[in-house]
Order: sequence, then structure tokens, then C-alpha cells
Amino acid sequence: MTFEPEDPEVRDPLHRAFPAATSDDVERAWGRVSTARRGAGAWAATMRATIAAALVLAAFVAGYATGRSNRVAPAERGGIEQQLPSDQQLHITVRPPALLPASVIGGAP
Amino acid sequence: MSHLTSAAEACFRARYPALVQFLHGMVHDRARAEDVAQESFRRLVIRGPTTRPDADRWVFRVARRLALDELKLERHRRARELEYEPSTDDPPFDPDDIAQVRRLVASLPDRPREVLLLREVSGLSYQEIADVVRRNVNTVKQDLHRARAALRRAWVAQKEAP
Repeated sequence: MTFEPEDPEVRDPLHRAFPAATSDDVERAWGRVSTARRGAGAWAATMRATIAAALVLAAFVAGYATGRSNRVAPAERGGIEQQLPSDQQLHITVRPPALLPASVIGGAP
Repeated sequence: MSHLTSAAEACFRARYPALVQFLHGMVHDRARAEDVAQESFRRLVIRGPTTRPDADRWVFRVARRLALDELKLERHRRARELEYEPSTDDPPFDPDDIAQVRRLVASLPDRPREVLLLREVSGLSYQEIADVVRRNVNTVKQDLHRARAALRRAWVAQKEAP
């Protein structure tokens, strides 16, 4: 910004009527402004911490809810456990992919 | 963060005195002018531009808006001031009489008054004033001309007084 004095006849009375702040005024005012800035910084840090905590809590709740929905329903609620006899064993047969030659997976030639 | 602070602080130290002068002429009260100036700089350090001269113009814009809001509130409380029209009944204008200068400035309409203060008191260029008040440069010059003319009329009346 540049100061371009143009009309001293008008400017000088105005400067007397509206004097500039003294250096003491400036220092005092900067003290207030910088304090407000630190206050705002602390408030922002608190808000960031609160939001982070809320996100962690939300993630935990979401994970817990997902875990519950993936469980096998208990027998008393008519879930899958009720349909299986207690002495039945589960047999799983793993078949090799059809495209692989038997020698690759160690089978008979 | 430190470079942001130093830019804001540099802007503050360079512009605070001129901003208070401008606001003093706008809101007619020194203490209120200082409050508005500090609030403007507080907003600057929190969410204003971080480089100069953008910060300088931004803080003047915010301060002007706050001052106009203050004036609106004040005028709700009391009748609107009459536009200054010098008459033969006026006492001769004395530029050394601070109270008289302040009254004369206060009697100007907002538009020419803010331009006059930004120019003659705060020392902004025409382009900078146009950026602050969001008018084009020619309009700023017209407003300034009106304000100076009002002051000169009073000044001439004083010179011609016996």
C-alpha cells in the first residue's frame, strides 16, 4: 500500500481530529489479538481431537455391528446351528482346478 | 504456523494505526474504533489471507463492514443524521477545532465519508480504496470529490469569515 498525499488542506485537520494509535496502543492491541489467536488455536485443537475421537468411536460401533451380523444365529433363534445334528461332521472336499495338470498338485500321472 | 503469524503481525503493525483512524471517523468513537479494529485483525489471524498485501485489503474490508453494521445499529437507536448542508447560520469552520472537524465528518453520508477517510486519513490509493469498498475507481473518485467539496465549502466559509 502506498501513501499518496493529495490534499494537505483537507488531510491535516483530519489527522488532528483522528490521530493515529501510539506505539503503546499498538502493542496492547497486538497482545489482545494474538491472545485471541491462541485461544482460537486451542479451540481448533480441541475440536480436531473431538472429531477424531468421534470417528474412532463410530468405526468401533460399525465394526461391532458388522461382527454381530456375521455371526451364526444362536440355535434358540432358529439359526443354522439348529438344523445340524450335533454329531454330524462337516466334510469338505477340495478339488484341484481343472486346468492344472495332476503332476503339479502331486496327484497320479 | 509461524510464518502465518509473522505475516499477520507485520500487517497488524503496519496497518492497525491507520485502520483505527479510519474507524474512528466511521463510528465516531475511539474506543469502539479500537474494538472493531481488533476484531477485524482477530478474524484475519484466524481465517484471513496469509500473505500481504491481500491481508491488508481483507482486513480493511472486514473492518469497513463491521463499522457499517455498527452504524446501522446506532441509527436504529436514534434518528438518522441529516446530510451536511452548510448554511449561513453555521459558525465558521475552524480546522484546528477537533470537535468541529469530527462533527463535520460525521455529518457526511457514509459513502463519501468512508472514501475520504480511507484516502486522506489511512492513506490508501484509489485502487486500494476501490478494492476495499468494492466500487470502481471512477466512483471512488466521485465520492471523494463530493466529500472534499463539502469540507472545502466549510473551509472557505471559515476563510471568508471576518
